[in-house]
Amino acid sequence: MEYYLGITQTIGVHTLLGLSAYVLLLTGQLSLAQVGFFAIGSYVSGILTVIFGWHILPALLVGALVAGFFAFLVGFPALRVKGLMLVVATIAFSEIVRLVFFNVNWRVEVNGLEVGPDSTQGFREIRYFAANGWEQAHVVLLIWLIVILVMVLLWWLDKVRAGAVLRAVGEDELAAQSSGVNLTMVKVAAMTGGGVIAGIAGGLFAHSTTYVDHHTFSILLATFAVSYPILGGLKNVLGTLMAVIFIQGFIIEGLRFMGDYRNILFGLLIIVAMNFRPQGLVDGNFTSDLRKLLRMNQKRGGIDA
Amino acid sequence: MLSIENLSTSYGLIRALKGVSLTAEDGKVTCILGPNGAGKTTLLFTAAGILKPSSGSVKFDGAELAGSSAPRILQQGLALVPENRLVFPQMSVRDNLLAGAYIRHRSEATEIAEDLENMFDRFPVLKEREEQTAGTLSGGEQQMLSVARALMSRPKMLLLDEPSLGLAPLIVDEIFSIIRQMNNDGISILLVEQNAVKALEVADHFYLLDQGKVAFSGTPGEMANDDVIKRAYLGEH
Repeated sequence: MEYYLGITQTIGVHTLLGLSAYVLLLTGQLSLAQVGFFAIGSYVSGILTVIFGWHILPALLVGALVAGFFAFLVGFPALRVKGLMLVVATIAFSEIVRLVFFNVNWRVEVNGLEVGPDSTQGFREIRYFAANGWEQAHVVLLIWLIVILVMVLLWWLDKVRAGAVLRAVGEDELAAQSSGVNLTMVKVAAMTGGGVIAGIAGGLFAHSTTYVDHHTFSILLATFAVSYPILGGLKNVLGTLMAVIFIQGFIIEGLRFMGDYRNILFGLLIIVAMNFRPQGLVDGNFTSDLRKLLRMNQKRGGIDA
Repeated sequence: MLSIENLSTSYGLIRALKGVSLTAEDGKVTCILGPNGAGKTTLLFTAAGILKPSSGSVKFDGAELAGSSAPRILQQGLALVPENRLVFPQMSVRDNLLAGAYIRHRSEATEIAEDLENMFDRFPVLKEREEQTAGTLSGGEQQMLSVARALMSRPKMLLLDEPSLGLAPLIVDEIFSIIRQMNNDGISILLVEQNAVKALEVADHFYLLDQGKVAFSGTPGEMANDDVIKRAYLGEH
């Protein structure tokens, strides 16, 4: 049971990470900076609960806001570069963040124990949940409440003007501009929003695993973050969720016996998906098929009754 | 009236516009001719606020627009129809048109709906394709869609960048008759064209842009009689 709850947590955290990249992909920006924002979120909220003894919720919020603030700052230089150059620039950002935390040493004695980030040794003992009597199921509940909240928010965003504006910029920047869309504002807002979501994911991750170090925030994680929405498709948020369940639940956990071969499989999966379903798993046809299927079932149900 | 004075725009070290001055009168069709690389698109982009000029002024109905943002300039009534008919390929025709009304206020919902119907009247082919994604339209239909999308902002003046580019002669005729029709409806037009023969049919005034400068300015009559232009653009020897 513990094991499955653990996987559920991982899937929740990765879904948030994937959604943070999803927001940016809507505007056509492929960013590997999400792992940097994730790292900021986890260190900031971890420091707040461990060293300052904050409650988890305000700590998560502040972690997310700080990550969002850095994303806002990254948003401006990111406006100047596109495509591959943006990928390179955002990798550079994530590496800077990783190396900064690699060097952060802030040890404080709290209740007779020395705690806090210990540079190369990482940030251990982020034990808010255990110390406050949370059971693992509660943690799962917290993570998934936040996941659902973010998904509903992004779903709603797509039903209103703001979502259309994000997609318009993603489809054609020039056409969007000549329709009166403020490109700077939209791109920076998307980057900031993505940063906030990644920051929450980071905070949840640090507290649910109780331990983070610089290895956690590798480029591999950034690659995962963008591959979820790319594999899942940008039609809606469900694609990202399905991709995370498939990759984390099936490839990474389900095929654990395959060891490092899973990484080859992951790479292979991306190549196969790009060739056969470049628009992602969940596209317009998929959703309309799903609707048809549901309607058919309803009809049958009607006849039987 | 749009009056551009001494406008210069650079891409890094390359000066694409070197002090261009021209005016586009209200209710008229003003046409800018010029070879590739003359700075025609740069000029329209600068006027529309997509590029920022390094010096000079762009005045529209008395208001200084040089250096303003693209949304602000659109709000002043100057709408750009970019080259290569840049529609939103994954959005439906209807959504593309609504995107054109992006800057208009929510309280105008009824007017926007009326304008949408007007566009469908003016471009019946768009009505047939209302729910189709714009990427599936033919080149000519996409051009009509991008013109219609710009009209949805209710502009006073349209900046049309090579609307005939890559279209079959019959479609080009159709596009030009639409240009004339829009002009008759009171919309001023600043048209960038390579097809000088067609432009002669609609334009009231011509400018020739060459290497970032205005090389010629005159009426259609004067243009048709200019030897250089005749040779370069009208194909007469």
